[in-house]
Amino acid sequence: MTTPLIEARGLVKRYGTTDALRGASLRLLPGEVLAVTGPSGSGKSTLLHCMAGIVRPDEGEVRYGAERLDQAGENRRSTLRRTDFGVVFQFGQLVGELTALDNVALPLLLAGTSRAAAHKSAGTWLERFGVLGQAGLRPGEMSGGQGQRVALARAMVTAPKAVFADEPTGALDSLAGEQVMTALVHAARESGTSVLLVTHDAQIAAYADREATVRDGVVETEDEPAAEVTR
Amino acid sequence: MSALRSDALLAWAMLRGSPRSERWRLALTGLGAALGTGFALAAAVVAVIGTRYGGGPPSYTNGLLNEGGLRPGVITALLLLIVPVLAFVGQCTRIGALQRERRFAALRLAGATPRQVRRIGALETAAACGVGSLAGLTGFLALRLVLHAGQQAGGGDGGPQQRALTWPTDVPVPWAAFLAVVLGLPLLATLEAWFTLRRAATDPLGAAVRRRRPRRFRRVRLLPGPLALLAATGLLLMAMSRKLGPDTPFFAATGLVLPLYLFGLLTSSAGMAAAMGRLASRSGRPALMIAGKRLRADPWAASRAHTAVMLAALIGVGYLTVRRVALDALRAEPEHHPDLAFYVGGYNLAGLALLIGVAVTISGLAVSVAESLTARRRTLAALAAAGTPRKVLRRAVLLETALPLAPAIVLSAACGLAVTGPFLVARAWSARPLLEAALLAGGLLAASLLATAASLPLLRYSVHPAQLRYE
Ligand SMILES: Nc1ncnc2c1ncn2[C@@H]1O[C@H](COP(=O)(O)OP(=O)(O)OP(=O)(O)O)[C@@H](O)[C@H]1O
Ligand SMILES: [Mg+2]
Repeated sequence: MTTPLIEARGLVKRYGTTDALRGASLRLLPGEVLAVTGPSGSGKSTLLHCMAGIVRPDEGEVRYGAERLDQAGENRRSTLRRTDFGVVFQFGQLVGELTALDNVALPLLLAGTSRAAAHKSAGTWLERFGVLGQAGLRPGEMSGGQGQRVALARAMVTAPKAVFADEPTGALDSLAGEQVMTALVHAARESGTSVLLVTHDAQIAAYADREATVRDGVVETEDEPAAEVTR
Repeated sequence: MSALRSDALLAWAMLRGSPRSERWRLALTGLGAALGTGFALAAAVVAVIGTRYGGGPPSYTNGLLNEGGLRPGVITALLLLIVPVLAFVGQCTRIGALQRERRFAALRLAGATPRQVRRIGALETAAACGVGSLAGLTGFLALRLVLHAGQQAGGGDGGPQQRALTWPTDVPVPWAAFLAVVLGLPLLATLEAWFTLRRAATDPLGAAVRRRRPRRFRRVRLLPGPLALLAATGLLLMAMSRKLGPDTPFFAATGLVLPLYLFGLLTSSAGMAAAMGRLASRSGRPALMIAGKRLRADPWAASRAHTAVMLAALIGVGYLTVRRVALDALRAEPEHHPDLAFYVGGYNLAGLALLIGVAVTISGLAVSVAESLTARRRTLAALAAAGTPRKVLRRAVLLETALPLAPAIVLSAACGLAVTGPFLVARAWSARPLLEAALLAGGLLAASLLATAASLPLLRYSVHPAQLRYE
């Protein structure tokens, strides 16, 4: 059996009196696309936030290699987001004041890469997702689909080990959604990046290698890993 | 160093794409820095008079500048003017706070550490204040040149040695002083920003996840404020009844009672706003009800915005009383005080400084009202869309200022009278100071309402139905 890239065990997260997670466990394998589905309010987003190190669980552990993300400090988890992980949400992850090019270059710039080098890789990724023409536009000036491609380009620009995508096509019509998903899955497979994909759209979930369902704060079902993940 | 460089580049890139509110914030911050620079440089000039840098013994038409014993007072007054300026700059950082929080969250999500985000935010303030400070320096130098030329031209006969100048434009200010002010003031403002940004920079999910429920506010603590006020009054009465000679009550008053009053006023303002809100929201009048609901929901917003005005009322009334009592005493025995005009001049100058402080304070209030109107535009637009007439909304916004501010000003003025009470009692009693205090309180309230009214045009933009469609 393959060792997982990221493994969550017995995650518990409470918000006031709501239990968002009540002992959820999930494994994300290297290079796979894993879809997480489930009813609204079941804790999918919270699970994703915990596994990406954005939110700290109250109980349970998140292992990334030898590291415990649930115990890592704020600085370490921030650094991971600009080196090893990429995130894509339904909206709001781009900086409204920056152009698409600067937005994609952002993780590199924050890591201290020179401006010219950062813009060069940003341009390459914008081109791969078909939005190089929008490089000079700010998020408010782009269509929803273009914005999500820019967000994908930013998630991929650091050649991450994993991309966390929470309803990345939630605000798009089905055609734009399919285009964004194809672009994401294609890029991920090419670079061997794992994708944790939260969605409640069965058509979108069909892009995944495996599927897990969340209900009432626990992972109810999780497909067995195939003998070998399809490349 | 390279980290700082890349942060500065990012800050610059974001500034270029920033919305109008952001530019307003930076422009007003720069204006505050320019003002502060002017005051600090003026203080530096006065500090140099009479020292070995200042050249010859001072001879100006204004006695305050000639008397070595009075110059420290002038310097203090000028430096104290920097306090309302810093408060104004602090008020400005609240403009566009919502957008900024969203931007910071997006940066955090992209992998910026909390420190990095704070540094970027502080850099923006530093740049704005640096530019403002340089503008202040330029203005100062220009004013000095103009005044100097005017004095040279208007002087007429007599050598420059004998002629007394009105303005100390002949004092050479050492380079170190310029440098200290132009660097020091932005540094101070940047530290302030660094401190206030400590919480804005923490949450990476701010933008991407809708807040499920509005943040719950702590309950207003009602006890400490009134207790402090009572304690201060008690102390004051004790000090006055002891009659330990004419000086004791004064020192008792300023040393202990004043800080207690300040603490009491600052801690009771939120409680007062909440109480007024409760009263108003029971009324049947729609404008009162809307204002009351808002005050109850967030009494701290009112108290934040009104603190400076309360301080102005307290200090203003204190100043008026002291001035009245002191000048009356001098006038009572003219034969002992041939230099009455000199003292009047001194008090007038202090009054002018106070007036400038009040003007800065009221501008800060206008900024905060404008800020709150834009920050609450969705709520306001929802009220308008539900059929609330615009006239009612306008009245509600005015009431939101008036309801908590009127009692706050009255209370502050009363504290100002109380602190200076020993003077009043020591001299013959007269009703004049009371009248003056009432006038000042009324004036402050009127000015505050005018400042609020000045922001009302923003309401038209805030209640536009389009505000409901986005985000
Ligand atoms: N920041 C928060 N503050 C308070 N409660 C929260 C917060 N985040 C999540 N919750 C609560 O935790 C539960 C799970 O939320 P979560 O966002 O993980 O659900 P979800 O499965 O992603 O739902 P959806 O499909 O609607 O996005 C919900 O009941 C939600 O109200
Ligand atoms: Mg969700």
